[in-house]
Amino acid sequence: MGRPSTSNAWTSRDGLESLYRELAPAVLGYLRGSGAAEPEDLLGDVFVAVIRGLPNCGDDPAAVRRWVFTVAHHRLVDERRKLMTRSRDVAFDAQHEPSTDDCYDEVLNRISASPAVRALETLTADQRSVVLLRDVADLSVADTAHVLGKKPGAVKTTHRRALAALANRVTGEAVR
Amino acid sequence: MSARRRIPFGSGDHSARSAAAPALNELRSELLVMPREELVENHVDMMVFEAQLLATPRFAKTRAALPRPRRAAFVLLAVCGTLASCGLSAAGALPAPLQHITESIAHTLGVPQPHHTPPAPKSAASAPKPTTPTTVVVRPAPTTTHHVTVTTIPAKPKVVQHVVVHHAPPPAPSVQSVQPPIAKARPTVPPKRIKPRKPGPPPSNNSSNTPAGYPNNWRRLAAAATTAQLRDCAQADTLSPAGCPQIATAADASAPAQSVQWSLVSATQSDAVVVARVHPGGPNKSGPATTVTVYEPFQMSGSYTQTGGAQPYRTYSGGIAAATMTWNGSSFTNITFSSGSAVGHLLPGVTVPPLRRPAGVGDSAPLVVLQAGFGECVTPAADPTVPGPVCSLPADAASGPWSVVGDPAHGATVTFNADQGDFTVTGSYSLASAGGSTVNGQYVATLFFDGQNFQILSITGS
Repeated sequence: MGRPSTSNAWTSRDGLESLYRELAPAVLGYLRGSGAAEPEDLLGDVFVAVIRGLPNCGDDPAAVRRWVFTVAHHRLVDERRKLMTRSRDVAFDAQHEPSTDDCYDEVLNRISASPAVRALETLTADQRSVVLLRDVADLSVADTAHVLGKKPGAVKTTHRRALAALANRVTGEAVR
Repeated sequence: MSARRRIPFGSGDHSARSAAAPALNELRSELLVMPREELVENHVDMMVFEAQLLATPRFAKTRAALPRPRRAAFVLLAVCGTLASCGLSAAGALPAPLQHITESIAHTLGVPQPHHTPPAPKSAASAPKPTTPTTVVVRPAPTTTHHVTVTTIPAKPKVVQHVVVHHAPPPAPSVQSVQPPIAKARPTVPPKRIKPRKPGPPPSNNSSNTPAGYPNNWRRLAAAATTAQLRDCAQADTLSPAGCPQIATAADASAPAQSVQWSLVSATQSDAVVVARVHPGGPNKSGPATTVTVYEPFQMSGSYTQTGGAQPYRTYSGGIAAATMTWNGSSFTNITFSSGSAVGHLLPGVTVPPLRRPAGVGDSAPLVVLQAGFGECVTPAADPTVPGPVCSLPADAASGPWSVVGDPAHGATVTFNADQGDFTVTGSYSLASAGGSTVNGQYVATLFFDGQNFQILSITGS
């Protein structure tokens, strides 16, 4: 990680950009895989909120990574709560549906159609979070437990069940 | 049974991970995507801006003005002060302005004050219970023993006491105290009507600060009595009579004065100052007494002789006569003068006008008399019965006779002494004897005006 050697360097643009480029794909994947409504907007909020606590992380890369995903998880929970309190039904209007000229949107549409992603949606929220943090964000069991506020044993159990369910879903669909 | 084929799982994470490995790889390849570059730039800018905001000193946490212990002590002191002021206010011990302020605040907030009288109860149920012991009137009955149930009200509520009362046959109802009082009843003193005292006698017409029992013209009477007493003092046969203001010394202190005669030259009654002093206890604690003091300018002249001398000498006494007297209901009595002039010894706050120089009398008249007086000193008087001045000149009688050379009044200075009413003339003289000797020097002559002429009292040469 091209991270600055001292915590005071977190104020420099280079240090912040390197941090973003290293962790943004994993955070964005975590948010998208968790079903965030606006994952990119939420990504920006996460990295802005991360700035305040970076000096407390020191020079430990694992601490920084743990801090970033902790913030992302909290923001995700906040967004879910907002959606629960402000849920509403909007009728589909094909006439005003924006066209998808952007290739990035096309990729996202393709991702949503992936069997693995659809299988991920069938997991419980905890199982999904554990799989994303452990296998996509590549966090350790201890860091995953810290981010989710669970015990490491519960994380392991949840992870095992999640992988079994995921393999069962993917393989089953493939068998069909 | 489900037709779905189950994946053989082993124990531990390894078997699960290996089974889900294809799905996990697919997830990583699809989810680990770098955001768009414009989004990256936007987010990095936001991060840098946030970092700059956090680094700005204005976001530094300001320290408290006082350290925590001091703040705690200050808060504790404020609370104690508030409680103390409330207590003092309730006790009414605050100064009047602060008490007024606190009572105004309490009145505005509706806080009951301890000295406020609570409103009277409107119903009998809410009336306060009496605290005096209860007396029960028991009617006689044919039986000799009764169990009477009495409810005592004041001590404790709902305390029922059974009292066994033994009754004798008398038919009259008996009054019996059931229970001794828990505390001695507070004696109640019936209100007393304050009888106003009888008004004293109406004040006299003391429009001019007249003492009680004195006539309105007491000042004039006192001044007249003083003047009369001065006339009586003029009948004294000593140079310094007791109880009289005049005081004089003989020319020869070793020889007694004889044939002393005094005459009152002037007593300015119009300039007299009359003061009344009331003593509350009186001189003998018998009652209030009033002493009247009169200050009156006076002038007395006299003559006397001394043993061994044939010609009498003139003498003079003048100044402010201070007389004290009392009123006996009809006149002033016990008139006594202080010896000598009272100038410089007046009562506090009293001002007496000084003696005034005789009107129409210049400096030439005393000088003319002075020239003749020098002649009386150096030559024997033609009439030895006429009083002459006391001469003290350094002229030896054995070298005589002497004669005055020149005019001693020439260049002399005349001054009027307002404290004593006499004149002083200072100048130079020159005497010549028949033997050819001369005496020169300065002299001081004292004269007084008797209303018609100047009289020389003394001539002292050096």
